Amino acid sequence: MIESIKELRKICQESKYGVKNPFWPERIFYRSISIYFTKTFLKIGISANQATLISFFIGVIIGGSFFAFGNPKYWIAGALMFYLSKIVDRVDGEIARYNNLASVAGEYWDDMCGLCIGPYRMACMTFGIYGLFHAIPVLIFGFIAVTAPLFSRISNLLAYKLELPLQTLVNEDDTKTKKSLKQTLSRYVGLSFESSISIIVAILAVAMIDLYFNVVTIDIPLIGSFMINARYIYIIFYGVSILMVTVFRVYDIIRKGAMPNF
Amino acid sequence: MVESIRELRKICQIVKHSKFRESKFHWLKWNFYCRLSIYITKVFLKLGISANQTTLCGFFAGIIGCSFFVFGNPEYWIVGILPLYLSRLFDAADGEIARYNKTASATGTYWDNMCDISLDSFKFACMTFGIYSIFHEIPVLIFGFIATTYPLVSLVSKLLAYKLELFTKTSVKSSNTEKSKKQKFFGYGYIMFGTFIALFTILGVAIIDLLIPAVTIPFIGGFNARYAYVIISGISGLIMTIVRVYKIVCKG
Repeated sequence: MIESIKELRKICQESKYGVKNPFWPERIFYRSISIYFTKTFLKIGISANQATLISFFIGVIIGGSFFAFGNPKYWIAGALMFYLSKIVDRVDGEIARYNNLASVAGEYWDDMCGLCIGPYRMACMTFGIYGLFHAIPVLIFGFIAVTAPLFSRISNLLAYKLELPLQTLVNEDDTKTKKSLKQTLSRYVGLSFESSISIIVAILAVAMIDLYFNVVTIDIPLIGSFMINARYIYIIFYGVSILMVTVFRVYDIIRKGAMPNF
Repeated sequence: MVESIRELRKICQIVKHSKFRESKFHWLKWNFYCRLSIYITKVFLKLGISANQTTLCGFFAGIIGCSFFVFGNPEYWIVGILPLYLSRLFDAADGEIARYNKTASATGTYWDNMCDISLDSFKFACMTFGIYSIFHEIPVLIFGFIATTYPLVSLVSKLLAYKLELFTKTSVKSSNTEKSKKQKFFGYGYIMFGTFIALFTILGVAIIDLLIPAVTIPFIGGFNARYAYVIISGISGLIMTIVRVYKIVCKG
């Protein structure tokens, strides 16, 4: 018989971080709900890899496809499906920990599935916006938004594979004063972009804005007029900012010949 | 003073290629890239251009070449292949310069690989726009997105396995007989897709389009050889990646 929720929490969630997950949004938004899914899945007898696949299908096939429509209401539905898939994404780890089957191959499978969701979502969003505006710049920014997260991932992993040495801090003083502040800042900026909570919140907010405001037309002399709404701005911002961060990281790695410590 | 071409060949090329002598596709690389790239190496060594700068030159040449693909006219595509070929030559030259100067490093490889992979996906993105300007159909964009992302996804699938140290176990086993042959074959297949054959295929496909007008097929719409190239490379790459991920997950 499967243990009660409280017992399961101890087995599956607290064992990973010692006591409790230190990152509070993760605890409140995901782990508090995911344990119920874990319990049902354990009862049915679904394995960890199958749970990953379920989350992949919810996120990609159903959730992502909602974004291909121009109507903002579909986007809100898509964001909710995306949230659901992220909850199920936590479940697979918990099942693996419960069954003592946590393995590197499982982690790999999990990561690959998680990786595919992002570009697919952005591609669908591009089609949704393109359906509204029928302008080529949408496609260009869409391509950037689709490829930028992958580039950023490659720039990290390639550094691992080529076994570049870890960047060492020059002075002991640096860790205490300036650098630590910079690092924490960059860490929080990174979190706000990469973490799924902020992505969901951003998509929801942007879709809400579009629900209430009309499309704005901006005239730029010599270049022409562009139609813009909040979701379009989101795609542009997302793609370009991640691309910039990646370019800076690559530049940093090449200049110093070492991997930045994250 | 920089040595003569013959000496340079010994210093820069023979060292690396002695390992690859037995491979099937060695002659392709030798005849099409290394024969010419040594002249670029000589000129650049005289000018005092470093290996990383050469990579950057190759990157820009590639960007210019890819930009030609944005136009729908097949003649532009044929013209675009020339800078792309030049960028491959630069790509071969940067390694030679690094070997000559003895500055070959992991960072250089990193920079080289990053440039390569971004060119690869940029090429497909430009092609998609070019084909889209002819047909104006949504399926072109869908296949274009697939073709643009597959090189990235396939690279990530490999690198992630490296990072999680999945390969260390299998490489011990596979150093024996059959498996290594199979792996070699796949490795060279990837090289073929990546560099050698891609240029010739694009050239061939563009020439076909120059001679034969686009066909209209029910359900799919307009169709020509270049469109077929984008579809096939995207789908085949995607399937290969999925199979690889499946294998890795199954075998651990």
